Order: sequence, then structure tokens, then C-alpha cells
Amino acid sequence: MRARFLVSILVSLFLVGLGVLANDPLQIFRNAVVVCLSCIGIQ
Amino acid sequence: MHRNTVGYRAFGQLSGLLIANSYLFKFLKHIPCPTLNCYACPAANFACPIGTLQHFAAIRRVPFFTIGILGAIGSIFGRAVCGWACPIGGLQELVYRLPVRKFRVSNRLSFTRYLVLAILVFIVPFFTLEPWFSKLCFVGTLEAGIPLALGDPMIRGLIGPFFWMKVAITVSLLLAMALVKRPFCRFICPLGAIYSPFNKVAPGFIEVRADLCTQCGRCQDVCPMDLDVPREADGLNCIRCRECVGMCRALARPNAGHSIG
Repeated sequence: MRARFLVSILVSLFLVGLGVLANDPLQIFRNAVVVCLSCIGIQ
Repeated sequence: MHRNTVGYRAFGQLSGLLIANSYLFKFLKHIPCPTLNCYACPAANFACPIGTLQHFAAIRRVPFFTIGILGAIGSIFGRAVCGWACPIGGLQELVYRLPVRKFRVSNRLSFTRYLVLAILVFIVPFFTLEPWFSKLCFVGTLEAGIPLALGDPMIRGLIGPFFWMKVAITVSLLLAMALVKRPFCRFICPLGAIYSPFNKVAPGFIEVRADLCTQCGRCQDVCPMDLDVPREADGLNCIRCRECVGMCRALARPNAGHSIG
């Protein structure tokens, strides 16, 4: 159980790092600051 | 004596709502919210995790950062996030308190949330370039659609049949919440589908002492997910709310004489 937990958390942190290198946070921000018309129910 | 966790969890769920929608930390929109929260809400601090996954599917990129963040949170907490921090979970438990006739629906249908995740969050946005889960999501209607329509005349002018379809979905789900325990969590929520496998990884498990279980069913009565607790405690559907732990000596608290590993 402890080994699974450690592997899972390390893989997750590796993916976070990979995402930062791929500029994912900026892409997420760009998408999040535009009002989502689908969410509101207009488009 | 049965010490339930409802009060503590309600505090957590309310805190989750306020932290995600305080308007104070807009710069956190670089980060997906750990709970289901609409980023179209004018006060939202974080990005919607499901909206973000759909966006990456539509632009045909692998969402490494979002998967990593959700994986890290899932690894640490499992589905406790659903039970203790998700305001939508809290809303469902609140509506279920309405004094109307209740119905029991089998958890055998709970695989549907994996279908929602695969089809509406990944496959359809990938091919249509449109966020189809968001188009149907009732959280957006509650947190953004209705408030914006009430407060912004320009948005009100743009309302069409699609908006009213989302309102109808929202009303239907609210009605279902009054009749059935946590229907959105159990059968629809794609974020719950993502966190579910992490229950096998995250520490803080519940141990069932089969030799002490009398099959009285009281644990299922208090379970907000309507689980057959002796069989499904800490399974994929368990939100680790711990309502059952403490009311029954057959259910062990984590680390009460046991250790992980």
C-alpha cells in the first residue's frame, strides 16, 4: 500500500513537472479567464 | 455512541465552496480546482478540472499538468475530496434532507460515470472540438448561468432554448437529489470517476471485521453513497466520509491498531 502510494505521488509530481515544461498552466489560465459560454448555457 | 461526521463535513464543503469562489485569488486560475467548480462563476478562483480536460482534448494536447495535480490530490486523499471538500456533494446531501419519499438505487449502475468521463470529457470534445460535458453540466447553470442571467442584462438577452434545456437538467437533478442519495456523485460525476481508483492508493482505509458484522444494515442507512458497507467500504464508490466508522464496532478506524503498508 505504501509503495503504491509513493509510486502514485511520484508519477503525479512528474506529470506536474512535465505539464509546467509544456506550458500547461498558461494554457489552462487562457482557457479559464474567457467566460465559458457553454457552461452558462448560451452556446 | 454514534459520532457522525456530518457537521465537520458540512464545514469542509462550505469552506471548499468559499475557497473556490472567494474572488480573491484569481491568479489561481492557472490551477485546476480539486473539486467540481465552474470557472464561469464570476467569483471562481480556480480553473474547472473537467473544463480543462475537455479543453485539452479539443486542442488535442495531453493535459499533463491537470492529470498530475488530480493524481497528486487523489493519491493523498482518494475520494475523501468528494466526501469532505466538494460543495456539490454537500448540496446533494442538503437537498436529500428534504422530507419527501426516498428511493434506493443500486450502485451497480455507478459505472455510468466512467462512460461520462470517457465519452463527454475526452472522446466527444476530441472529435467535435466542443466541451460537451460543460454544455450539459448543471454546476455551470447553478454557479454561473443563473447568477449571470439574473445580474447581467446582456447575458439575459442572449438566453435561448439551450439555456432552458440546462435549467431543465438542473431542476431534474435537484429533484433526483431529494429522492436518491447523491445521484450526481454516484452516476454522473467525471471527477469522482477520476478519483475513484485512487481509493486503492491513498492512505486512511476502513477495515471491515467480517466476524463482528451482524448484517444489520445501519451502516448502509447512514452512508451518503448508499453503499453496502461491509462489501464496498473503501471501494471505488466510497467517499471516505466515515459516517459508518464509529457507529459500528465491525468497522475499524484507520490506524486503530492497524497500519498502512
